[in-house]
Amino acid sequence: MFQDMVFGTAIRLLGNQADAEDVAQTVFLKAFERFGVIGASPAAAGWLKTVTTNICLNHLSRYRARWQLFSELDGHQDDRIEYASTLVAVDPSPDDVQVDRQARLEQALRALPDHQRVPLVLFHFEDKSYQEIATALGVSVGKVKTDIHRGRETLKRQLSFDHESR
Amino acid sequence: MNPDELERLVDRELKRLPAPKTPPTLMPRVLMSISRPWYERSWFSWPRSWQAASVVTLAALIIGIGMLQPTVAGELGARFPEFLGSAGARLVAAAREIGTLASAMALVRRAVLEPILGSLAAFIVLMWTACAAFGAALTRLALGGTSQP
Repeated sequence: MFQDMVFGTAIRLLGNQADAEDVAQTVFLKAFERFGVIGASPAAAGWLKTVTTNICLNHLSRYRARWQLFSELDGHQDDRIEYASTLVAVDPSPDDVQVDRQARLEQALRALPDHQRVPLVLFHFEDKSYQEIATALGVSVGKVKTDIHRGRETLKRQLSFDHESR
Repeated sequence: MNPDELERLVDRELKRLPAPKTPPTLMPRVLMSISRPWYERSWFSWPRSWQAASVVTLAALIIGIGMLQPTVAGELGARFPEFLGSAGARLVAAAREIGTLASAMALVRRAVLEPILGSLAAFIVLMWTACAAFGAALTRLALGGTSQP
């Protein structure tokens, strides 16, 4: 029921399918251990989302030294290959163009460097404020704004490209 | 396009995106992990009572070994004096050799390393600074001036 939400949050924050699967597995194991408490609770979705976000941020901070330089240099090539297998199934329909456009936007989002993608996802998908994101990531609000803005600019270029190529 | 318009545009487009689909292998993986008995999972996921029992057992084991060790050593010494005597002599000889080696290393340090220690430290600092500057330049030039959280 919540599996797409948990996996979706994880893969957008981490930008990597293998890591997202590991995080999703950890989240579901935690949920299973607390099933008696959260099983029928209306707050289950919120609990799952919060736990997923926290585990993803912990995961990223554990590998922060790695993403400080080298994550940008590797170009996320492997993730792009893996990406195709995580897309929503595409049925032949008149909405094919829209589906294709969304797939490219999702791909562009995941291809953003971690320091742009993570605050961008927290802002637009988790509805966190700049201040909350800055606190969660341990950086200044100004830096969060700058990184999110750069991420948006990159996504806008993708959107503009789609618009022009139509 | 001003930043507010950009924010609204990106927000609208991102929120239209469908949720990524969970790979079909994930849930079987989770179920397999859940179906394993508790003692095959990590200690942190054990039932609380078993966690407490394992901590108490471990503590009792450590305390027991600590309390019994002098008695056991004395008993062994009384029953096998020759064996312990030869083992003790070997230990003393090994300790002496280690001591001699440590003295030799200290001598080498005083005679060879200490005179150049200042220069070595300066060299390391210089190289570190050069690497940091190169990294910063690379980040700025090659990566478009991005910075990290």
